[in-house]
Amino acid sequence: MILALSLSLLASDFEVSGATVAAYPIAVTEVAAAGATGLASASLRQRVEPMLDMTGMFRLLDRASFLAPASEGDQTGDINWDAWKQVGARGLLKLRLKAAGEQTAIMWRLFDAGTQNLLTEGQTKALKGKEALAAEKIADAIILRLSGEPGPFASRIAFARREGRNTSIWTTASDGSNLQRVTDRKSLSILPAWGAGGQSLYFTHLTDQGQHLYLSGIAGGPWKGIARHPGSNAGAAMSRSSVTLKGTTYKRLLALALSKDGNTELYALTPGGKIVARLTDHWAIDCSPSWSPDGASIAFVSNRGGSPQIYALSLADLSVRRLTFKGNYNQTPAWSPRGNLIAFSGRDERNVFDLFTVDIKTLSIKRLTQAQGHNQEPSWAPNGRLLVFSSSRNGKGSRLYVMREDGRHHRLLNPKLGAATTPRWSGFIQR
Amino acid sequence: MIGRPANRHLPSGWRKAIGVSISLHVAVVLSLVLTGGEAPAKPLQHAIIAELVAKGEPQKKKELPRRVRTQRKKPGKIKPKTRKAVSKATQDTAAAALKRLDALAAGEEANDALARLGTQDQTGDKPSDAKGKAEGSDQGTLSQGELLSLQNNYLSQVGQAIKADGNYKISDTISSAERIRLSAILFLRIGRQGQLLEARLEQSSGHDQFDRDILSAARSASYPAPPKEIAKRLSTGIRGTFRP
Repeated sequence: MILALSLSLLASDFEVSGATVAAYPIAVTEVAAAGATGLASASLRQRVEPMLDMTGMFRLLDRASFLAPASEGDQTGDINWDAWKQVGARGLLKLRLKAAGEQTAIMWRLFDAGTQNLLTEGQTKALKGKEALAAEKIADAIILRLSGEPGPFASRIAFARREGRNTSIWTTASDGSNLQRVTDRKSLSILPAWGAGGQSLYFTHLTDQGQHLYLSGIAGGPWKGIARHPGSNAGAAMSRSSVTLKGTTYKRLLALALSKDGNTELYALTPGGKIVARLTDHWAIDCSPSWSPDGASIAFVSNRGGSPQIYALSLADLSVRRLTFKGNYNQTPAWSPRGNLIAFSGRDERNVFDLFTVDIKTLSIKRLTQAQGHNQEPSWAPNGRLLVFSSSRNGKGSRLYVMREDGRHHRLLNPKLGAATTPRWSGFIQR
Repeated sequence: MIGRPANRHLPSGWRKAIGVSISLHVAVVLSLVLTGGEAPAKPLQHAIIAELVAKGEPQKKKELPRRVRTQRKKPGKIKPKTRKAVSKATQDTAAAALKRLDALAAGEEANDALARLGTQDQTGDKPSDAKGKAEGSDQGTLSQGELLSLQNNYLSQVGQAIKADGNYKISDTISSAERIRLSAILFLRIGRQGQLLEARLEQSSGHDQFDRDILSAARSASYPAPPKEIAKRLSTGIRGTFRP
């Protein structure tokens, strides 16, 4: 016993663990400015706040409770620290805008109210009236400083949107704002998939002739035919890194489910649509590919075991490993950017689809959603901390929601979006 | 749609809950019988014997506290003196004391361990007598082992003070994957009244926000005053390993 005591004294005297994990209380405020700049400051703040809230990491403090005067500056000496500590702020984010000709200079400073230290600061410029666009940059900078990881906002979300009898492809900023149409309203286009770099989208267009894969720029415009084989050309997925297949390394490969041979199988195609290899060869249906971040494996759905389950295909030898053994209808796998988990939707014993993750090493399954309608089609944010998915919870058809990777903190992506399905979160998009 | 499956789900949930509740109750009763039931009984038995002796002989003040102390210090060396009943009782309390020391070493039950040491003295003697003589002489003669256990006990109190009332909070900005790996060492100096004299990072976790979180928790905690016997030892500072 004495030995144990003296040994423990060598390293450290005592241990503390079992912390309460709590959302980081943050106050966001703008340095008061007159006229248009003042309005722009407020609109920028009004976009930054819900973005931080959406991540589920922060607790946004209510402005009505703020004690510091609106005129307070953003220099360490200007700030009434006690007033901020009293309202419970750990972090204090100050936004300051300054008109400079046609542009507005936007500065942000993040303080730790406890130690009164400046944690991070930055600045950017925006065209007059477009100041809110800086919110993504600011939110990501705050998240990077406080989590040590990149934020999710340098990205967009693509989805299929119901418009009358037709369905078209749209994109939105990752906070649900800034909706943009990709395909026109007369088409029946489904299953969007991001092209490399986040500037183009693959999608399957349904006609009487078949289900063909096309590519379009994210701002719309002419389509390019990518795969128009007989039958179904659906469920495209672009690799997130280079891929080595049968001794050849490709910068990017497209995985696609084709039924040209009578039975749906997975194929690897170049980004332009040339078939490189057939990946699966089984009497069962193989579909819904999702690449591992390292490009060495593809998760997919197969009913080769009797019911639809999630499998992983190794590109090195095309060997197949079953990942899910629970449930009798598991589909739409999405491999996380961290590589350790695959999110999927599974039908549970109540005949309801819910979201789960499977750990690819231990095969342990974790439930993410429950008792809120059907929840399907998960897609990971590029930083792996959030998931977008479709849910029927409000009874008005499928809507897009965002939640934390652990299944907490659900947020409707955009109430104005209406019926939307098959969301796909892009990778990081360079700006 | 949602209500019906939930109802169907309830009974099995309740059954599980009842099953867990019953097994927990059984476990509590068993543990009381096996450990908790015995431990308080022995000092009491001992106290009754002491009283009987006290009535017969006038020298009780010196004898009784000494017996209690020897049991704690060297439980193995106790030899039967006069009555078999007494010797068995002392051995049992000695074993119990050893158990308690082990618990101290494990850092469990540390919260009220000091209090228990105190009450044990009181069961052996009247509180007024113990204060005047027995404790006064005790201070000078604490063995190395006793000092160590006193110190260890205080250190675990420090750890608990940091965690008390949800004071030990870490930010949700730190990802769960990251949390598993984090570990940092803080250096603390605590004054004789329990006031925090110094808190600094001795070994960073490598994660800024976690470092800030643990420093903030260490600074906002209220610490107990260290026991006089070890205050000097502790004045050079202590190190705590922090994990989420």
